[in-house]
Amino acid sequence: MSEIIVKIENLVKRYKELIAVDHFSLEIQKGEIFGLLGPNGSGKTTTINCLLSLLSYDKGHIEIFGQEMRPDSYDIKNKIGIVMQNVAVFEELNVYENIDYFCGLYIRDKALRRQYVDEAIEFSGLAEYIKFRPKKLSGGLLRRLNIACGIAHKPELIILDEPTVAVDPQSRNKILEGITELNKNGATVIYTSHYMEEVERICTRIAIMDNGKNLALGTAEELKSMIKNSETIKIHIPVLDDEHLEAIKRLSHVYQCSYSDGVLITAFDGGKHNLIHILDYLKNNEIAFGQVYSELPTLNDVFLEITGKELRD
Amino acid sequence: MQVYRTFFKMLMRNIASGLLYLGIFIIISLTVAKNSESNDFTTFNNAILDISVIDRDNSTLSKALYDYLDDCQNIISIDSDEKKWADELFYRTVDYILVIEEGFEEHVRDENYDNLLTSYSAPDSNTSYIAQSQTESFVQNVCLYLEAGYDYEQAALKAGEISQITADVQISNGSGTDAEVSSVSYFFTFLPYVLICMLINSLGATLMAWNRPEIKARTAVSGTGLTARNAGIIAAMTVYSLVIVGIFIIVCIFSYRKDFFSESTIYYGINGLCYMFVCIAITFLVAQLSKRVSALSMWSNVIGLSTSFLCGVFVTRQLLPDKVVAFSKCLPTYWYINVTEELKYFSGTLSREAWISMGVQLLFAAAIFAVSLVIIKNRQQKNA
Repeated sequence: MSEIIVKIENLVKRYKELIAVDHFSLEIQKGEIFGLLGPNGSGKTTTINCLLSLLSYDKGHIEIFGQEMRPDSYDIKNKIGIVMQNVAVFEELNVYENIDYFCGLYIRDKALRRQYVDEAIEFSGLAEYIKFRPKKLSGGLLRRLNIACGIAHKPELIILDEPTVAVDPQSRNKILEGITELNKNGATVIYTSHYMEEVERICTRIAIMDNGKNLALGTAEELKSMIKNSETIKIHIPVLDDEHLEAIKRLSHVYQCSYSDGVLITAFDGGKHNLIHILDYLKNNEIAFGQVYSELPTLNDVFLEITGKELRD
Repeated sequence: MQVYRTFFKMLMRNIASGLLYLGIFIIISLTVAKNSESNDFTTFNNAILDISVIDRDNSTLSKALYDYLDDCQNIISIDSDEKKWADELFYRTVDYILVIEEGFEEHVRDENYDNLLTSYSAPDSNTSYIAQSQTESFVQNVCLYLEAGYDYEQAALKAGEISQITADVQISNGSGTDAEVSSVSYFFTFLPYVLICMLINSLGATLMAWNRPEIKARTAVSGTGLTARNAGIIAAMTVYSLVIVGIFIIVCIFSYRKDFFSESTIYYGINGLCYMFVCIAITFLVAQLSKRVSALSMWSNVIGLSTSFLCGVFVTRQLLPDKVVAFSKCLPTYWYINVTEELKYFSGTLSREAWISMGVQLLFAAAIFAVSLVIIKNRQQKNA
């Protein structure tokens, strides 16, 4: 049985009338990259802040590394690396000094710290910028500095709170690759984001949050299998009469079908070779068609089906 | 240690703004000290003016008046053409011209001589009244003697003798003692303004960087405890302030080598250290209240200038209204100046009041620090 690194039970956090986290429970096992996915304001950051004892909470219990997490749990905090949503670096210090300072909060030994700082600089690709002050760095490089400051001391648990906000695709790719590498090196990762592609790409398990609640939990495949939609096929058809549309709706596993602006959209709730079946029907009935797209369900579809709204609303 | 080292490193990078104030301070204190050295406050010299006397009476009395004025002032001959007198006065060839009209002596006895003594003063001259006053005084004395039965010659002689009587003028230093004021005192009197400006601008900017919510949160989730963090910051602030005070002392030694090595300097130093803690506490409070680093300059000037003017740093307390002095007791700078005022005329032992004043400064520092902690606590509760 895998070791449980983080255990959150029935967490409730209120801001006066607003319930920011609503009876939220979670277990994260060692070696996971655990994704907390949810739109802005869904309670991800509040949950993380409660987890780190930055915020007090109204109800619930939090354990990290098998011990209760309290504001003075410095032995636990020593094993955690945190990359905050807002970049937390000193404008007055250069890249090297910033990493050295944050690493030094955990590592007292000078020689070891120097080694760790150098490794963090190498890891984050900031070697060319060590003398730069943060305001001289681009948004992507600043985020990478923020990450380097959070992971330099080689923590066992790394918490990244939306680390790719306002980052260019190239830097984002580098950050995601880096997180995967950290995980391969043995770190357990908690990754919060509202970008479903990122979460789907790197996370081994995902919790979908909205209004402070844990709506669904599982691997990406498990989450997708929870919903009715298994495949959506879009076909450009210049002309399609109602008789044929009704016939397509009667095809096996079709549960939703619509035609507008020359595009036929058909959703399937399972089955195999759905594309072949629908194309066979069009050929047999001599219906001309153009481009064909087959889309598998995304986490957005999962979120849409659970909450009735888009993830990016 | 990590917090201390980093905080100190950042402080030293902000020291440039503080050194600006140090430069201004050194110039002001040296200038004031230099001026004070050149002024001999214990002696008084009569002013000697360049004047001119036109004697149209040519009598015994008019000659006696001429001779008397010649003794008191420097009489210069000028052209008898009245049209040129305006130029002489304007260009300050003379400060004062007295015309003794014909018939002056005759009319002195019945004291009807107003139109027979005509005077002209240089525009905006503040000193010509001295000659005018001496003239009037001499003539009035002559009148008194004439009334008493003396003749013109004797009356003029007696009036001249009276005029020779001078008062022994001594200027008091306000202390009630004759002790000399050390030049070092000027240096330490101006210290509060500079120290507060320097610390708010340099220390305040660094403190504000550490007060940023994300930095605070980031440090709070680290393996370094809150106590260790605060201890590091306080230690760095204290050491930095000591460095600043140390720079002041070095400047002071170079500026006043003769006066520096005395017992009173030790007390000035202790008093300065007490005030340093007040400045640290004020800076700590300002860093909590200020929203922007750019506002620190405003804070430092408002606090520095207002306390300096109210408490007797820039203007000696004897010149301040009683109500202002009463109000200034609510400010720590008042208690600092209390000690420096006593040390100006240091006689070998420091009074109990001076030690109490230093204690009051430390109490002010503790109180201001406590207010800052209450503000921090309230903010934490709001955000939790």
